[in-house]
Amino acid sequence: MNGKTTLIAGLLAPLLLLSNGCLDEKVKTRIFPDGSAERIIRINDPHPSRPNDFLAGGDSSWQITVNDSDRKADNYGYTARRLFREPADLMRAYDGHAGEGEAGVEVRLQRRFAWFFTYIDYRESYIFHDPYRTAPVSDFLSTDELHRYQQDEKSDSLQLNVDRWKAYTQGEYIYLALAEEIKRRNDPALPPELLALHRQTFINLFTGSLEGSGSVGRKKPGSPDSGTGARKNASARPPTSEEVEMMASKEGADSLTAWLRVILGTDAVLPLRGAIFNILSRTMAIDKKFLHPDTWTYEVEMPGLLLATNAGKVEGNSLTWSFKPDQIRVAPYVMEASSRVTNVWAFIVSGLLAVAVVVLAIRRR
Amino acid sequence: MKTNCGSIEQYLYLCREGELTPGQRREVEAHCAECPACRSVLAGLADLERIVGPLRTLPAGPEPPRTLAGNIMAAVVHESSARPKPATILSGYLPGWVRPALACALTGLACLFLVQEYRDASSIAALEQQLAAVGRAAEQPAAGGSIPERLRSGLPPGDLSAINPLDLLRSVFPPSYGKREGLFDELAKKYPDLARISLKRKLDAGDRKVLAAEGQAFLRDVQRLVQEGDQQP
Repeated sequence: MNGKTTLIAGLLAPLLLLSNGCLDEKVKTRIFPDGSAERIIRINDPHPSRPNDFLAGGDSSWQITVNDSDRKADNYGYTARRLFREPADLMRAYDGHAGEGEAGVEVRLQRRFAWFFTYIDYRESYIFHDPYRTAPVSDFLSTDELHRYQQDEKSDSLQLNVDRWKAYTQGEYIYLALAEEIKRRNDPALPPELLALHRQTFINLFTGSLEGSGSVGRKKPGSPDSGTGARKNASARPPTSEEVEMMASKEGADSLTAWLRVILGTDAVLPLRGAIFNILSRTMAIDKKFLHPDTWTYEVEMPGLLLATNAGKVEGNSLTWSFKPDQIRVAPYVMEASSRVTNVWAFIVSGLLAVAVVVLAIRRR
Repeated sequence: MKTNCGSIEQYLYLCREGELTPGQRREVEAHCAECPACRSVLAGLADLERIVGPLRTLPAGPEPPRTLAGNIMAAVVHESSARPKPATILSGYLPGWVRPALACALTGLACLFLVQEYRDASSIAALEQQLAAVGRAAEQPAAGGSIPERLRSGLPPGDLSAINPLDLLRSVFPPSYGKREGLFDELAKKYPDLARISLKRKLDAGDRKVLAAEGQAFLRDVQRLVQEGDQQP
């Protein structure tokens, strides 16, 4: 059984690793003192399949340029540029709306006039809706761990827990779909209770490959990597198109059916092979729906004097956040910054007022 | 006897009939015969007397009304207030409430400015601290690697059962913490499950769970202690 488990885990685990290759998205936003903003989105793929999914201006309001000739050029790839004349324009373009399983982005840009200064508050949130919604991430990471993970703390144990959560939710999603199918068939030889008895074993099929790599931070000197590191290496390599096809292929469904036959001890699972294939295909479609780059790099240039930010990198007024899909998958990823712009005219008016008060005081005497 | 103008002047204005003694009159006439200036004054007074003198003989008129003086003074005051004052840039044209209103507005603006500056200065100080902390964390690996890396590199190959954990920890900590009494006991109390893990046996699933749950927090504490130690002179 162990051999089959390993085989199936090998077939299904890449479902968790669906990726679109080394796709990087860089978003540069310049916010001006009057509240207008210019946004430039660059994807290092000249012809992204669904630009709208990257919120990179698939409509005519964006000025699109494509450079697919010179790979060494700074502007290689797909570039979308748009000027937002009012804060409301930017907020309308990024209103957080997203379909199920898709990432949504919400922007809040506010100008607060306070006589001497005008305060600019910028907040952008990546809202990712968990596609499976079977188990909350809080079952696997504490609030503090979530925060540290989103702050890009390099920790094997944190990444392992995130991987466990992803595997668990996916495994449970497939389990629930299968249980529903068994219930619908109402086969006396395959009662729903039989599968329910092996619920944990079924889900372990997906999480099991991660449990074996739980030795956090332990590595013999000279060894190439720990078990967790090997897992990370696996994550770094996107599955080939053949592997992706394999996951939801007849062979994948055959493997899972055979495994269920052994676990449940009945041949009644064999007619389920077609349904299992459909469930795996549906699962893969859900993962594919969330089209994302491998890394996001957000650069925001704030006007005036910077007052607060949660950016990981600050150079003058230029703020940079870099994050990966998993960081927005566990919880909304929030980028915030505040700055103030000095209103010179307000100082002049106040000075004139002060002079007038002084002159009046002197004349009165 | 020669007289001077100063002594004779007082008699000049009284030089009417019956006002001076005959001696004083002679004295005045003698001085005026010699002094043209006083003679001129005396002639002027004589002319005035010639005009005014007949008026004294007129019969007395009706008594003036008792309110005459008051009316005159009221008219004088009215005339004085009605006369336009010299105009200035502001005071001549501004209503009376403008001056306090301007003062209040100026005070309000000053308070607003102070509040904004204080609040923003606090924000900037917090941001600088945050950035300094990020900078320190970024510099840490360059200064010999992170604590986990130093711990890993301190592990010898092969059997781990011979390792004394305290010696291992002391090898990666600054010497000052090796002398700090009770430090490791405190850490062991704070992370009791972690302290129960033995390196002499193979790690099981429970151990891994504890390491995942408490290990990172423990290492952060250690990291903080090391940073404090590094900052000590």
